[in-house]
Amino acid sequence: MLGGVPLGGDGVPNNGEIALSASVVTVGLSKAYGSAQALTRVNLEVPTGALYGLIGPNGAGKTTLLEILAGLRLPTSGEVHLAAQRAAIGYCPDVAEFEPWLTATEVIDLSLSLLGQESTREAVATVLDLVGLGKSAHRRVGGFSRGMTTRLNLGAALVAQPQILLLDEPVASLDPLGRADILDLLASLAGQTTVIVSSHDLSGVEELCTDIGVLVGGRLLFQGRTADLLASVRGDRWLVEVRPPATTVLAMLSAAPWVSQVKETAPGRIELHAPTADQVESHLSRLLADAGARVVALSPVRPSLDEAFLALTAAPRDEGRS
Amino acid sequence: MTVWRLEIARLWRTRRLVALLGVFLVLGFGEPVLTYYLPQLVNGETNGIKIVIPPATPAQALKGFSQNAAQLGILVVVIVAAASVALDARPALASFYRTRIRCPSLLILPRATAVAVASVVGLVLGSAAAWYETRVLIGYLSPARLAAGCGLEALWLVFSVVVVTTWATLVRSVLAVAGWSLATLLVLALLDSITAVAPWAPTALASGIQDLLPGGGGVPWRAVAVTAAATALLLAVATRLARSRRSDR
Repeated sequence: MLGGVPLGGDGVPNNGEIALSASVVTVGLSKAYGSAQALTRVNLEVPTGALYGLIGPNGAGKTTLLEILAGLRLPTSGEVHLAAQRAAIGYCPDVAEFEPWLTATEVIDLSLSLLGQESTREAVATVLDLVGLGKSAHRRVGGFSRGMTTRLNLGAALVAQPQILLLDEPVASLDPLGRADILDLLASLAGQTTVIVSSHDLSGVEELCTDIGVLVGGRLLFQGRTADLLASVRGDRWLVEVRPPATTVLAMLSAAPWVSQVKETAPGRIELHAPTADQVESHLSRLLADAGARVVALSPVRPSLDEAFLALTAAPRDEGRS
Repeated sequence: MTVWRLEIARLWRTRRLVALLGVFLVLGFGEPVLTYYLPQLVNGETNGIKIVIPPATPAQALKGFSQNAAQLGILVVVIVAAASVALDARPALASFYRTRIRCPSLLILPRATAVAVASVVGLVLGSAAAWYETRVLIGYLSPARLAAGCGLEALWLVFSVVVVTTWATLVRSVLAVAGWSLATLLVLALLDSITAVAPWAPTALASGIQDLLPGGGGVPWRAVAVTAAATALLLAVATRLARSRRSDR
């Protein structure tokens, strides 16, 4: 049963409860800024313990949605049901800011204090180590880089051990190493904390998130398992890499009736499309042998989340589907 | 780190405490010196015009301090208070606080209290400095009268900080909060020109030290009552507005 902090469209707590295995549910959530519609009837459903990726182009409404969930904005209409008290919801905005004259330790300590929780030196130090700021614990945050501030932002949320964690572009300002560290850290929360990550970094979302929501123009176009979204993109592409020249192989593939499309993307690197995987698996190895090709690599091309996203947003639909 | 420790750190580390204490101390030490040497600076004859200023009196020195504290002092207090209580001036920082605290008034009230206390301490130290300097240079004046006048001006400072706090729940930027607050205090000062209203106006307290010096008007009790009531009322309004405010309001 979801208790938490349900809000009606007027911001008044809603006494209705919804029986779902979800930690975050929105029902017909809409938000307008004057005449501009930021969100339109969004029905979000985030399973408990899921790592949920919220993706969409700029201006899709991702930040607005997260801010409504965090209690910073009121929806114009619709309902929000959260399976946690407000104090158990962590929110990390995309651009974090702290009092520049506080040290990192003091920020973490203050975060706990504001939430009414007891703070211990060990807990603060552990969190700072966790987000990679152990060596900067006693530095004033005014001198922090943007990446360090992002890490501190995450630490300030994690120290309270939130049941729901809302992250807006958590890896946008991090270097590759920092990005990998934070993605690993977030992955370690799976099952314990419900994490909603809004990001433009689709490869990061694909790597991290078990569930996904695609928000375009304030509408939720897709919601479900990441694997289901990837599977919805036709996966009939194969990559064949041979020692150049690939002229003979190209000619034979172009003539093969089971190949629908073929092109050489780089010398010796051929990408081919076939209507079914069965035909490729049955004929490709024989064709390469007949062509006398020296095969370097041979693999199916998995659709990326970028491709799935582009395919989905190319033909937007009105309602979200599960 | 509690919100009270946070506010003490804010005053200390941002040098706001130095500004609040410094302005009153500079006025306190400076005004008696200026009053003492003014006759020597001005007396003389230029182009056949002879200017004669009578010797300085203790009351003149403290009156000068009171006048400057009511103008320059209040300007610094309003700016420092606006910088402290404008919780929503920096949205990213505001979201850090707003997503963690049950009610924003739990943040705003300690901020206002810290600035108000520091301002009053500054006024008391400045008044003590002015009294000491006056006694050394010019002559003796009863410290009891000065203390009572100081109490009236302290109430005016607290009221001013509460005006700033209320504006901080209505507008966002530090500049807007400070601007609207100063405009409000200016409008109140204009009420002093209306004879029927002047005894009731909070601005009557701004000259509290002058009123209690020999020849002054005495304690403006009606203004004390109005100011105390208005301070309590504005605090209640600010608390309510802070609670209902969201990022998009």
